[in-house]
Amino acid sequence: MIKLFTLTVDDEPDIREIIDLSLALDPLFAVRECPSGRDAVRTAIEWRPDLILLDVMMPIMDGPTTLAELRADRRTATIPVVFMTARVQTREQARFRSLGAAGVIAKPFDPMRLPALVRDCVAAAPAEDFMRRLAEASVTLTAWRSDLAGERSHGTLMEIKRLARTLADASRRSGFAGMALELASLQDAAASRLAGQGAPLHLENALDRVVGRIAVA
Amino acid sequence: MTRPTTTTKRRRLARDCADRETCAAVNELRLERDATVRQYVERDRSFAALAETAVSPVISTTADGIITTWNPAAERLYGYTATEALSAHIGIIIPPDRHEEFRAAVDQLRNGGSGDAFETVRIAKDGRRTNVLLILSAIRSPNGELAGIIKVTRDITDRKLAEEKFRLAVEACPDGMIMSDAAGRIVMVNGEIERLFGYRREELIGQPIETLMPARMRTQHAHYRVGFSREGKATRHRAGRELTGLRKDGREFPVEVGLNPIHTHDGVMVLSAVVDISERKRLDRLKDEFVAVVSHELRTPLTSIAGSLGLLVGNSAGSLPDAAKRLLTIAQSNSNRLVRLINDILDLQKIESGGIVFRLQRLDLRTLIEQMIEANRVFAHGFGVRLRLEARSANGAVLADADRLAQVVTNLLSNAIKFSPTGDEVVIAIARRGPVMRVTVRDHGSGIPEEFKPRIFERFAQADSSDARQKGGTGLGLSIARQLIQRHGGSIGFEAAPGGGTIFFFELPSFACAPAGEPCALVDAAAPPMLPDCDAVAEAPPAHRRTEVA
Repeated sequence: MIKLFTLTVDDEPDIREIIDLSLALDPLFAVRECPSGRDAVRTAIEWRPDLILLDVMMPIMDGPTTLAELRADRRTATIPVVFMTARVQTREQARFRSLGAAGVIAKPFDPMRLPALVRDCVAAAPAEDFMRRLAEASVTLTAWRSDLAGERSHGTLMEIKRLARTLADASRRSGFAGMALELASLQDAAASRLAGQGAPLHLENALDRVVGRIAVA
Repeated sequence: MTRPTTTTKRRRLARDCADRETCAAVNELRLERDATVRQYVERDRSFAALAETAVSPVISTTADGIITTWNPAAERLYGYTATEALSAHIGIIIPPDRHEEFRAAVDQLRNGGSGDAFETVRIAKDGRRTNVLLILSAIRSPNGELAGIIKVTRDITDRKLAEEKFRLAVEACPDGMIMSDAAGRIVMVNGEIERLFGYRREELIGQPIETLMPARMRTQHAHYRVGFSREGKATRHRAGRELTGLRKDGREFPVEVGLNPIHTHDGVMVLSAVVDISERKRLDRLKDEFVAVVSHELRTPLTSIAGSLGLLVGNSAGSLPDAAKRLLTIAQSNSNRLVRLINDILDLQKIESGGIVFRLQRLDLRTLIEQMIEANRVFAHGFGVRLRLEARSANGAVLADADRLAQVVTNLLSNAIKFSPTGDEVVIAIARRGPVMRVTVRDHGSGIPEEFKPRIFERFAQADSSDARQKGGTGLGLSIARQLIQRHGGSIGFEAAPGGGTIFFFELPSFACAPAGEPCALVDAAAPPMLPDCDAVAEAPPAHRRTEVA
């Protein structure tokens, strides 16, 4: 089963830990933590999470500012953000949604229900069909990864590109925005190689990340 | 006058008095003189009689200022008797600083002008200065020369005093005061207005009152002003309108304006009291920030506590002994109660400070009540209580904020559930009562103790604190419900139910004009209810029941 890469951002370490423990109750989630908005933007670019759980009131860079930065960067613009906030007034929730949040979860939350609440916010429902295709792709991509760098044929590159595009669409539909970003990068890398551009290493890295992500799953 | 001419004739003719014809002429002239004298005496008597009876001081003088008439009213005003005043110079009642003014007025008469009324000061025998309104009239000889002056005086000291008192009161008022006429032109301002707006008062007198507000608001304000002049209702100060003031230097600042119509001989004037509310606004902001911070700071540790307890009770850290689990459950339910308490306090604070904007829309009451019954079913189940909507409930709509009305219903349901005996039911009913919709929540509890009834809608009011706390109440639910219903222009109350238990109810104006689901208006919760075409009506309760309306 694929993991939903979830980045938890909160300046309170206790709350981060409780969120981690709570999400650990559901095998869907793979969690990383960040103590600040600045770290969150950096980690989101590097780790490409499928979802970000973002505290609203944080020092230096609050939740809405962090969201604005994430939206302004094309590498993170499509990652859904769910606010977790002690400011639970209906109007405030409406305001957070208007900023582009996928959901708002009130603090304090019921830790036993948190995984279900988060799943609801991003409609993360890995369909059987998607899982099967991902498993098949994993075999194919792992085989290609074992090939020697630079010796791939035109046909193989075309196949990588096609598979990456198809899987990226399926990932987006299933609520795996981070996975879709990884696959889009692989598709771009394959396209560059087909055009005789881009370093071979670029394609290798993109392939490594996708295979690594499926392997985590 | 003719006297000098008559005298000359008389002298001339006297020299030839032997002449009969001349004697006849002299007699003729004597007769003429006597007639003239009689006429004068008659005229003087008439004038003196008139002056005697006049209520106002009447004085006449020669052109040189020698007093020739001094009536009783003049005696009373100036303290000189007629004997003292007659033949004296008018200068005895003119203060030195008014000599020039008087000379100018006399010169005007001397040059053929008519006397204008003017306000001036006169001095009495005892040195007291008196404000007077003076009208001068000329007595002219047939050739038009100034022969004398008649002065009619009115003592305006009282009026001046009243004006001065009014001016001083307005000046001493800590609020800015502006008086404007029916056309919206400023006729008077006090020192506070000069300070607030940075203008000198002479710069403002005669200007439209809209000078003191930003251009973008002027048209709207002019409409409002015209409406006010027409209706002319005073606004209480605290219920004044919040507007934006514009200083001479272009800076804007928030003001609250209370209006008072003043009916004068010159028409309706408007006296506006203007208060700079910058500081109040700043404090409100600080309070809001403080509440937000406190809310956050309280909830942050609670999130950790409630989260940890939840995970432990949920066995996520492994199975626990029963006793430990029971203790953890107590800790968990109390941390949840603390969360509710914080939420309720924040809610109440927001409602009372006007921090909540209501999104009014047409709401179908039955749909809302059914949803609320579903939402509270699990909670009721926890107390072993059933919820039922009375089947004969009426259909009807109200104009309300959906979230806030849901909060009211939840609070009433939660209250009824907590105080119902296990195994019993809470019945909700909707009825149309003339122009209002009435929602009732009936429980079969032990009823409300008599001594508690007057306090039931007060904050933290619980008949039996220990009992209520055990049931997880915060003591704020009914208080919040009352605030919300009142802000909607409705009423809320309770009555003893026939056969035991209590019926809580609220009533809202029935609404049947707005299309369903569309927002109708935005209302500041602190402002008076704005329910167009719908008046809040609390119908008289049936005579056989005792109903308490909050």
